[in-house]
Amino acid sequence: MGIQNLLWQVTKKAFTGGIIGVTISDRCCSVVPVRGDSMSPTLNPQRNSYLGKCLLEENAPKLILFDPYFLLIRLLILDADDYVLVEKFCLQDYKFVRGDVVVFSSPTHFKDKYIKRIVGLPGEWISSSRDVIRVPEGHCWVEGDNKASSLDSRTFGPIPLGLIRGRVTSVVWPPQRFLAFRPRFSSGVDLLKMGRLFVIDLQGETYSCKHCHTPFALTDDLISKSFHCKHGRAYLFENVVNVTVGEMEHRIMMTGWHTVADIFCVCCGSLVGWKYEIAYEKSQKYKEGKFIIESRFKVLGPDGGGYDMNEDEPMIGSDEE
Amino acid sequence: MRWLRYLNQWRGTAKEALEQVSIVAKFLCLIHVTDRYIISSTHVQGPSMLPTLNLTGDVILAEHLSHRFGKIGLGDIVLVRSPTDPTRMVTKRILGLEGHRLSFSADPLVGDGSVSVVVPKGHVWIQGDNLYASTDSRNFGPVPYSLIEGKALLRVWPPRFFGSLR
Repeated sequence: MGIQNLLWQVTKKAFTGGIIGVTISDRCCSVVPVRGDSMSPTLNPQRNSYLGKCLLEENAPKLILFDPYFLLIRLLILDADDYVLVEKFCLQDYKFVRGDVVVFSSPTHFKDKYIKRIVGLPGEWISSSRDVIRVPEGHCWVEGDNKASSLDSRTFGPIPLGLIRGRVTSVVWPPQRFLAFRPRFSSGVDLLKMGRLFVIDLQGETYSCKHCHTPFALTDDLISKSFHCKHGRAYLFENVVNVTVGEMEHRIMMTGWHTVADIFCVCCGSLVGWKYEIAYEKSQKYKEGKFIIESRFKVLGPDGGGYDMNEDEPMIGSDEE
Repeated sequence: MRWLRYLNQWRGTAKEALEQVSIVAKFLCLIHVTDRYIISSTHVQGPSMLPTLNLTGDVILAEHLSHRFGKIGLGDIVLVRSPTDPTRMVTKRILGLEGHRLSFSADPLVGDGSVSVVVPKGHVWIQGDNLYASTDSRNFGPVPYSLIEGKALLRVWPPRFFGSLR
């Protein structure tokens, strides 16, 4: 009788503890081991070190594999995997920033989970081996810190954000690495270069984005300053770079019907102006293929300042948004 | 000496309150585990699964065990996390597993040439029953199997449509 009662009590306690543990691990945070070296040296740095590589089975000379001292050293060094704390609060709204290290389910093997770093958010451009890829809505581009041995988005493409199972906040084991993990930066490597965000650099006097200073156009490419938009002056440029072009739409302007497409900064995504795709009046045909950048709020001039309204310049060729 | 007696009284009340709170907490944890891992009810609405599911909204029971063991098959109605918006869940039917070759019409209204596609490893092809009003794999491509969150079992509301879903 007593044994049965005891067993029942223990089972009840274990069941309750298990349920509470599962809930906490699903909603708050959990601790997971890091396997492999695709995130070296950020996580599991010993695997990528020279000593670590020597201790790998394929690199060690055959005779030494059965030596107990060798096995002990191997256990202490190689098998000392990092354990990290993964927080789940980010899964409420799926808002991540570039540089977050996340745990996600593999898109090719549904039972596996990988730990990699987000280097591309939805809408951004990533340059891969041969071409430039745009990360679709609801997806992200992940890469491991150790490019040489990492299975990541360079192989299986951008992953849906819904696959992400949590965000890594810190290393909890071994204790000496507790403070070593800096979540946003990968051991001194410049984050923009690591993500290989495709940004063209312009030499000379340029107009650039007011928020993120990405260069858009050279002063040499400026055709006319006497355009107008909803917010003030707008400038017509022969060619602009570092913008993404949106959907084409028909708009009526002061000079007639046009087909235009809005343009956005590639780095911060803010609206900077529009591109003329088709002009339906003969006199406006010269604008086709050219770009308008709204000057007052969106752009810094070559001298670093914004623009004043120059009242006495004639308003020829003005177009309203 | 009076305040000592009050303190004792409060201690008793506090202990009881803590016990009640812990019972509620355990109950909530149980609900979470059941909802996430065993069975849950969902309100689905929209035109993309007509005529199987109604336009104005149904409540269906979905189980969350099959997909963990890989037992999702062709023709199952599944709840999937949307690949274009991770905060939304969509309900669609599975029309292709990994390795299957599918051909579908790029635009059912126009009815012109069909596109043929092979579902890659680890992915599934989901499609709504109402081809004319459904954004599914014909728009965003095959989705990874891990995005599947549950399989629809039966419909419980409205009562006149009670029954299993096929």
